[in-house]
Amino acid sequence: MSDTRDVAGDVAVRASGLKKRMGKTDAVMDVSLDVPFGSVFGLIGRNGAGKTTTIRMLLGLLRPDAGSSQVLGEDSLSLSKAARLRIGYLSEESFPYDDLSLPRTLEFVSAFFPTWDWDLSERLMERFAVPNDTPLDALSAGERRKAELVLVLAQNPDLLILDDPAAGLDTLVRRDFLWAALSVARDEGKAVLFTSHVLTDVERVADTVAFLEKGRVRLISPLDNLKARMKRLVFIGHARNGARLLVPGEITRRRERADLLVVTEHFDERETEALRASWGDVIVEDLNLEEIFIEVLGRGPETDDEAQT
Amino acid sequence: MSLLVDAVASARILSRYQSLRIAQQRAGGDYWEGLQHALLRCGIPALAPAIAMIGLAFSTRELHIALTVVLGVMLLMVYGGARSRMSAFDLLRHPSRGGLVLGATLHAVPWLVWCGACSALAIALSAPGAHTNAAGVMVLVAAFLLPTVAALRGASRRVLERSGARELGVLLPVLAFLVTRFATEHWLPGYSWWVVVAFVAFLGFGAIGSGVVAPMRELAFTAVVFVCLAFPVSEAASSALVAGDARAMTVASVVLILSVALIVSELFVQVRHVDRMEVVRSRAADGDAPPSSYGPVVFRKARAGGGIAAARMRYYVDLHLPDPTKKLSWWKRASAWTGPAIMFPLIFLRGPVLAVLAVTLSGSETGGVVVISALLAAFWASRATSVDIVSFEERLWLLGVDYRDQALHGLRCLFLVGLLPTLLAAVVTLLVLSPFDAARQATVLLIVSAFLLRAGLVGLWPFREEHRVRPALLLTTLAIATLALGPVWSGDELAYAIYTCAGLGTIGLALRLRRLRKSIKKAPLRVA
Repeated sequence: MSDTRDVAGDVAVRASGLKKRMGKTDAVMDVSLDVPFGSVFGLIGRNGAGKTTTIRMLLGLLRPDAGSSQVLGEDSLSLSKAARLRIGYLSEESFPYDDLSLPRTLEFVSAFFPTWDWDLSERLMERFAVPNDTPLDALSAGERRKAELVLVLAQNPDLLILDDPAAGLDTLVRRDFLWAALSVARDEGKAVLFTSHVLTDVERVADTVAFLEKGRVRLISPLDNLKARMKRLVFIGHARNGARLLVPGEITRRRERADLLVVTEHFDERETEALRASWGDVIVEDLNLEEIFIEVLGRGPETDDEAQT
Repeated sequence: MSLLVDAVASARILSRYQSLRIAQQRAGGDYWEGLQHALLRCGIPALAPAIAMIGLAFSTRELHIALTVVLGVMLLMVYGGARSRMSAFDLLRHPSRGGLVLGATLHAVPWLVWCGACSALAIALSAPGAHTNAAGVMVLVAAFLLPTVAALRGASRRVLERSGARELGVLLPVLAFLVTRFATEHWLPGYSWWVVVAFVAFLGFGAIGSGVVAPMRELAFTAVVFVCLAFPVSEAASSALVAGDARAMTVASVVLILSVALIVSELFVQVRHVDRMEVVRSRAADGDAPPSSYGPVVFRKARAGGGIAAARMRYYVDLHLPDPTKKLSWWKRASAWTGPAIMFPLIFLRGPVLAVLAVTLSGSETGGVVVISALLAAFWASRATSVDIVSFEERLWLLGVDYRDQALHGLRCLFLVGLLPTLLAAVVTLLVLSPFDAARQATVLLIVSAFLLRAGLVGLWPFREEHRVRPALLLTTLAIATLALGPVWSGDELAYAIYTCAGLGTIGLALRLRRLRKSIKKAPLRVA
């Protein structure tokens, strides 16, 4: 790993107030985030939330209408060649030089990177079992994605940006990929920023997550912290008389048979004890990331409107 | 200086990629693909001097002109489409963006030199002795630079994320042909205003359709193409060039200056704007792209009233305009139009314009050009240059529109969107120019019979609904034969052509409809 680090601390990516309008749509309205070295940062959101646009602005492929971003200590719009070579980017687009077989593609791509790790590329090729003699454009979508993963991981980058890497991959390969991403970030203190719609994957590897909704960061938090403070409280038998119930940090509530289910984003054991004293038996349930995602983004006012529409 | 270093590095990267491709083809024993590629890249530009030699060897002037025009269209598309990748990978991995743009040009230099040499040789063969005077040399140099200018122009458009000037690129040689013939040899005495109107209409249409945003550069490019095409096709222009008179000298020097200025300005624009370039293209992974407007347009009622009939009309219009899902040009968003405005794009279809051309030309000369214009009016009337009347859409099939229904819909569209406006334009032209002129009347009949042939062609043995290449090859052969016969087309020969087209077309159409009706009873028509 390179010795050069961001002067502001160990921050690989920093974005503040990014905005981007695409045609008549506000693709990104206000995105600010920090990705420190040694972390795996999951950017999640529904389709069209602005994840890809944000990543492209971070890499200088799109010019933000407002706001700024720095990657590896340099402004995104003027990344030096040295900085660009320290970034591994798996785009959601297909790899453009796709009429070569994987070994020849590796030969072509490796020449760009002084840090190219041939051992890793061979290990990954073996592990992913990508056909050696077939041009990339003739591979199946999943095999092609595996080949692209090999190309990115073998660059041995300081910052790994993966835009929906799990697309088209089967469960086993996704697990392999997660292993590779984790080893990159944790063992060598590098940074990983990735988007995915497979929230179980995000939960397995990410240590910080950001929820994007309609171009805005709805929530950003270390995953452990998020899971510790977001809980579902089940008020037994209070489905009908819970109107007066006030739960600090409540974000949603619904009835399920005779019970009232309230999700709070500021769970506190002492306050829960106080609620128990007033409302009787209260069960505290943990939420996994998928449930948190649904509670935060899936039951918001916008979604309700959409459902009504 | 650093830009140049980056450019050389980028050119080396591209060369390395090419070497790896060649090595892979050799390793796989796949020489045919490489050979095809080389033949296409080197062979197509070499057709220019070959056609000039045909023009010298035979007295079939019309064939020479037509082939030059067709090749001009093809070459401009080939030059303008010269490969230069601008993906996220390239922008991140090449030394610099400016270097990438210049490197792509450097990488293409050997091929551009070859193309330029072919282009200059074509003019040298068309105007023997031109190289002995200054005007001739300047035009030859301009012709040599033309492929580079066209390639840079295409790259500029891609760098700036604008649409390719396809329509304008296709129309330019046609304009050059028309205006050259008119200006230099007075082919159409008494009808000069028609040519001017056609010129302005085509240019305006091309400019709108291709989203021209740099009119000065486009005009300069038009002028260079015009002159480079005028010399091979116009005897008067060739003579002036060989004589090297003052007029030729002026034209030659202006064209040379424009060529050089265009190269410099296109490079400047690319390097200057490349930092503002954005990679916006997205794969469908993050939520699939919305389906095209075909399906919803059919079932969506008119937004501003009009009912299902207007919706169906919009569907016809949408289906017959190229790339209806793109948002590049206002006229391609026909599905959003309501009321009488939905008829507006029909007047821009190629059929009516070609019909006007055919009927107009037939007044003074009934030659191969008239016949080919009439054939083109029918076969090129809508959507594509191919002769199939409908492109089978898997997407439509998934939406529940069977291939048989698509074929029938294509037939209806051919008559509604293709034949009706074309015939209307031909008849109006006939009435305005000379209603009782037998040659013009025959041309109108020829257009109708050509439409019949188009509709019925795939019904004839050995064609099937899904065939596209075979009918296209047949049509191309037919067109070349028509032009090769040249001035033979007059009187009886024209009548035979009408009878043949109408007869074959009617039989084919009957067989086709029978086949389509049968498929209702038996199995749905499937496309291989």
